[in-house]
Amino acid sequence: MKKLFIVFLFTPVLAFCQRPKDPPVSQSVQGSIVIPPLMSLSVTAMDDQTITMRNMEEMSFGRSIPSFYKLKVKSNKPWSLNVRADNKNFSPSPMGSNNFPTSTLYLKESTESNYTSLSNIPNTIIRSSNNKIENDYLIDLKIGSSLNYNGGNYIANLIFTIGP
Amino acid sequence: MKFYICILLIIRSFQSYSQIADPESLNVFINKPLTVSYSSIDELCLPKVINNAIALKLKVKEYNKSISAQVNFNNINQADVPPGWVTLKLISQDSYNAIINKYETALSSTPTLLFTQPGSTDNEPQFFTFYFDIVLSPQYVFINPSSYNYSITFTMTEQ
Repeated sequence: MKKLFIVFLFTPVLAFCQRPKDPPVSQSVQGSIVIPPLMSLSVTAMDDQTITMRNMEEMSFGRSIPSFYKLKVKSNKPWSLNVRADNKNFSPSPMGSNNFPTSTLYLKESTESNYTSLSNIPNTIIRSSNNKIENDYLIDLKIGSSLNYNGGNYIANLIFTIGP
Repeated sequence: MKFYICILLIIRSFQSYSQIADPESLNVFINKPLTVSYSSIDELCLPKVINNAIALKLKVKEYNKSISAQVNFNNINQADVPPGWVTLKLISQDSYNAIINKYETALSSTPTLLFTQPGSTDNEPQFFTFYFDIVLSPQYVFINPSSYNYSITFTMTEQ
């Protein structure tokens, strides 16, 4: 009986001795990720960038060249792509008219239907239409009628810029 | 009987004292600055790694411990943070019996198990160190230009 009493007495003591689980231990470290506005643009032109008006029909109604430029745009925020010619008129090289306007050049994204006329003021030809960082585009080029200008060689530089 | 009770209480006192005097612990050490700055869009499209960024030092005794981690952004709505952006990559460790859940763990705002460290069989404290890279996953969709302040919290829980 005495032994039984001891067992009964020990039971609560043993329960008292049961070790509770340790509380979770935590520690933190801090850092920072800095992301500025980031953009890049690459423009690849067709190998031969010389456009020849090959017959009277092209002189009269113009000539379209699909996929004349290939663009790769990368941006981490919405963007628009602008194009301008470096001058209001083509530069005759060496002979030609001085008043052949660069506005006879037109560009459009290949899946679009409407061309945008160029000038020496930036014109938007594409805006971001999805939230992908990287997008590729093909750009169609068109030259309008050149009947009113002397035959010759003409040069224009096109400047592509990407911005918010 | 009083004798036995006294013995038990004394043992219990020693147990409590030993736990207070010699607790198990988790300590995190920063080996490299945890600030990352992107300078080009191409960097953003590739994984960015802070090599050997963090050392996690454990002191464990007889009980199994699970180690988890989470990432929280302090100044940005969590919903605006790309999921799985911050990843911990276990690069080395000196534990002979840790059970690694994954060597590369994408963190979220809730704890994710990194590994389990079994306790020692002889109740002697054991010390282990685990080294991690921080890997920022490449991004494929827009991410707002901003400074994203984050904290990585490691938690050691007894199983």
